[in-house]
Amino acid sequence: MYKYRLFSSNDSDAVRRLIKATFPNFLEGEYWDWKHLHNPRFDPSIVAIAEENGKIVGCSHWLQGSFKIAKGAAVKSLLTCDLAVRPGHRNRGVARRLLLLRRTREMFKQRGIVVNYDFADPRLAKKLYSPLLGYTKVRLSTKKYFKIISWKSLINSVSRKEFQQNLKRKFPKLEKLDLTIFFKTRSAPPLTISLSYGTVKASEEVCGGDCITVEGDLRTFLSLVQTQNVRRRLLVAILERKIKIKGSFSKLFETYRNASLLQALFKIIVTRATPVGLLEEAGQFSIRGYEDGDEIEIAQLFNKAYMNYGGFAPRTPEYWRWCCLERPDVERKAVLVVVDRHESIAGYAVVGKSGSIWELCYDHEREGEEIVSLLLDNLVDYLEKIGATSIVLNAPGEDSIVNRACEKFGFEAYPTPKMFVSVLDFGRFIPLLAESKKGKWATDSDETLLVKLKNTPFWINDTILMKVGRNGVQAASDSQHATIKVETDFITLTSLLFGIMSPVQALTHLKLEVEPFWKIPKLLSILSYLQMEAKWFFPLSDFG
Amino acid sequence: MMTGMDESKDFLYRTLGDKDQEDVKRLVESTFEDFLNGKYWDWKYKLNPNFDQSLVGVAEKDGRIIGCNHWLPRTLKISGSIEAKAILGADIAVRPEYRGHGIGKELLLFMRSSQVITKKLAVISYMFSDPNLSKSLYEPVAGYVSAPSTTVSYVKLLNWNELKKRVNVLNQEIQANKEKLEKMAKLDLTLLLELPSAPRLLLRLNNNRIEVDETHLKNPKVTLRSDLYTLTILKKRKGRIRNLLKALLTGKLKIRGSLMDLFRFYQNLWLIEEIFSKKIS
Amino acid sequence: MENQYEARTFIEGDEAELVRLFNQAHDRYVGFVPKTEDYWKWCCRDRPDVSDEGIIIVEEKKSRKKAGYAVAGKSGNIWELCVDPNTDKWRVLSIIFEVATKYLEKVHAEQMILNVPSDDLAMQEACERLNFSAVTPDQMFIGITDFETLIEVLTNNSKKELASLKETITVQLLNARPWVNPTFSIKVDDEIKVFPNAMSSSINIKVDSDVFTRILLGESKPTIELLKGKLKIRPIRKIYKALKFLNAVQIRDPWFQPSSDYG
Repeated sequence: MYKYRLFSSNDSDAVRRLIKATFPNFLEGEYWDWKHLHNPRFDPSIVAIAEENGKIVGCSHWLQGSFKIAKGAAVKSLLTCDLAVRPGHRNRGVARRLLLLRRTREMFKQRGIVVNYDFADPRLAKKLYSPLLGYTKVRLSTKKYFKIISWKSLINSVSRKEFQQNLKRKFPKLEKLDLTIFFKTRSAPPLTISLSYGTVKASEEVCGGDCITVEGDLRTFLSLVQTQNVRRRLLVAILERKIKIKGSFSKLFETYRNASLLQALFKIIVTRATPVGLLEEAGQFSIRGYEDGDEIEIAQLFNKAYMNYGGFAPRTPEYWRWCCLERPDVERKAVLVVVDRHESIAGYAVVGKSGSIWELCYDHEREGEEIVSLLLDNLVDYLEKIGATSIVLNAPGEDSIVNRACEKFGFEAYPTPKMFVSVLDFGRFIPLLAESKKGKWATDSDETLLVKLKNTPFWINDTILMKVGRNGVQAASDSQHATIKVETDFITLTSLLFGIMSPVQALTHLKLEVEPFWKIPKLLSILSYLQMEAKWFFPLSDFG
Repeated sequence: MMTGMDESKDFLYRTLGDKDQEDVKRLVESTFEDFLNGKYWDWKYKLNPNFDQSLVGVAEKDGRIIGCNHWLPRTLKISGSIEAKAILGADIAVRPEYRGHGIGKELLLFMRSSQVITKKLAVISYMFSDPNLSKSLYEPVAGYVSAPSTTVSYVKLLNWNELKKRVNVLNQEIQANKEKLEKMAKLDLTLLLELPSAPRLLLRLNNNRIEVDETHLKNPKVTLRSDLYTLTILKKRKGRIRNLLKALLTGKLKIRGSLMDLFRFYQNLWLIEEIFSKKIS
Repeated sequence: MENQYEARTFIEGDEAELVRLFNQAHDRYVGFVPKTEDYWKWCCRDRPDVSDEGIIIVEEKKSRKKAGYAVAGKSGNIWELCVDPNTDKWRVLSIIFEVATKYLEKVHAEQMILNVPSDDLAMQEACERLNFSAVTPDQMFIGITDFETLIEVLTNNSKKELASLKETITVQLLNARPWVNPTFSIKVDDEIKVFPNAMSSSINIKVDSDVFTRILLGESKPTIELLKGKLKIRPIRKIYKALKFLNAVQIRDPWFQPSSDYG
């Protein structure tokens, strides 16, 4: 349960840490004090905080000021900024509540606020700010320019021993390459990257020897680093004259042959070893193969993505390794991982040679369509290469993102294998169900419920005694003091608990015999409360 | 080791022993050969961190394993915040010659005398099954009900390679079978199948041969437009006419062609059946 | 031709003129925070990655009049760049960029990033000549919290044009957010007054709150919204007058945001 309140001076440290963790790339996160605390416009009564168990998990800031709205006219405004929610608390409506806290007509009128504005990621604005706050995008007369002054940090990073070792481990084929590529672009100093039998060097020297010269604009280079089909994109860029390539035929051929490898290599170099913001133009996500250690993040992502569903085995790294990586028809290269600029896993998929997509999962707080499309594109590619005949994947029925992506890729919905469930121990199952509803149950009376099951198989206890009341549901011991007695069969009880049959239906179909009869409404309300509401979903990996 | 005897038929029910693994593996492979060619037992059980040999039941007759049933303990999420100890019931298999003797039922019941029940190690059990089989066996015997699943499967065919293999075999069968040869003698039909989730399929039925192509033909004699699921339904013989009419009326199946060609198509449904006799996807 | 300009770094007391220069240079734009000395001090000088050495001022040698300035942060961001339109812009910009680049190289910055108005051809040409690449700018989003005050402000510049209307217009906003007054009236006469409630009016406008926002911000044309059916005007015979009013209140000025406003 979250608590929402206004900022107080005791919160400074916690908020500073939260901002630093959420926006580490902007001035290394060290700007909160200047921007807010030391800002003459800072007003703690318009900084919203979200708390869980005394720990700050989210914050949203407003900065009041003047805003030029027309020639010669300025109005009072609020700039919404630095909305941050800790990763484990996202997608729970915390951001919405933070944005709405204090957002009242009285507050705006009191302060004379006429407009409220923000600089946001257009995707987040579409998803959150526009529908919630009525924000409109304004047409810009602003142009942004960018230039690289020096490749020093890239050169230094590339020359580091660990970096070289990592590259060798990741790209064993580098041992066979002998290539020098000279990048010439207007808005950056020259950059020469030489690959010499496993060693990678970068320098700002102009290449004089036998090298490939690639001339073009920065934007096109970055898009080549990000594209899925680098060879095709390269040819298009050459035809569009956005790129010029010069070099000996053999070196050109070697470059073309190793285009994917070079793309992956440059992506790492550009992501990890260049100034901030360089890849902003080139797309948010990229895809790579599984690496040892990914299973931890993968398991977390899986559990988070399906946290509102039941019906599957919660993932641990060990379980995931067995059920996906060690699966007989899964090759390591068929486990694909989508990462963002910070190498955080935003999605993944595991496909078998049989064409079964055992798992496909994406972070619901991110650009789901982009992630899923990226995965499906690569999966279809892989399966076509190995000659698979068909592809199958499972997804929750309400997942409109996967639904749209599958439609786009020419899939059709197909009846799924049916899952069946039976209860082995009602005495323990019913309190578990009640536990999941904690907080929703409100009753002013306690009842002792005695359930007698007819025609029970030998492994089922035919008597269930429960205390149902203010404290939820607990096993009881004394059947003499049962306040409600009900007789039914164990299939009916299972169907009721799993929400397959409604209590009223069971009663009207004479599947329930209740004593005393005036407690029927109470019993129906107890059964309705206990009924499972969670929808169930099973990935193919749990079934196959 | 747990054991039980069905004295009326001399079947012995017991838990898996070390020496049984190869037999059980072969039984599962032959029963479920469509799934990864049956070669998954080692991974699914032996390599499974949760595998417990005492939770695999076998039925034996005259020292030979004729049936098996597997229970896999695991944690199952039952709602957004609650997990329960559960059992996945899987790979229940009985040799074809012993089916219909209640072995499946006995194996289900046998597992329910295991320590999972006696020591209350699990709260629920779950499994995946054909709904008809569940209705006839799993529900009455073991109390299984349909789970509240919202899972949808999405399917796409990348190519018709499996079908092409089937057609090659079929062509050989036709050449070797006089009756089929005669049936096909005067046949001259081109059938174009268009499905949204599969490449186009062109079938040329003439000269006593079937030719398969993934291409387009300008004026095929018969064009069929539908989807994979509708085709799967229409494959079943039972209720075919009713299903066909329903598909036509609801627009799930569109057929184009001259009356004569449609009649020829209908006359040679046996051949279409044979071509698509294996699972489409 | 002798260079009439020279560059220096910031000294105490410069802020007043820099603020004046900024507001003058951006007079034709909207969408930014008008500078005051206090505000400028916080948003530029007190910025964590800005030192006095990174505030580059170009002056006319003879008159010492400020011709332009830039605030360069050690991160490589040029937080503000401003040139007096009445000077030799290209020359001033060249000096600023030269000094800024030297400074950024000295502090080991690896990039330079700046915002310029897209209709300022001199600035754009300078950036292109100096081998900058254009990239997608950061996007601004606006929500209106007080339509009545905004309309009052926006109609100030169109008083003469609207005086002849002589109408009382009631605007009913559909799907208005809870913090917004959904109904208000505008009396358009020699004086334009806005009232926070419905009045006996001669023109009624019913429109979705978000559509009305887009119209006021100049993102959408009232005529188009009328044809789409998103704008309802009654009586029909007064449609022309209602459209005239709406066209007059639209913000048509170009929007520009220096990165110091949001970075």
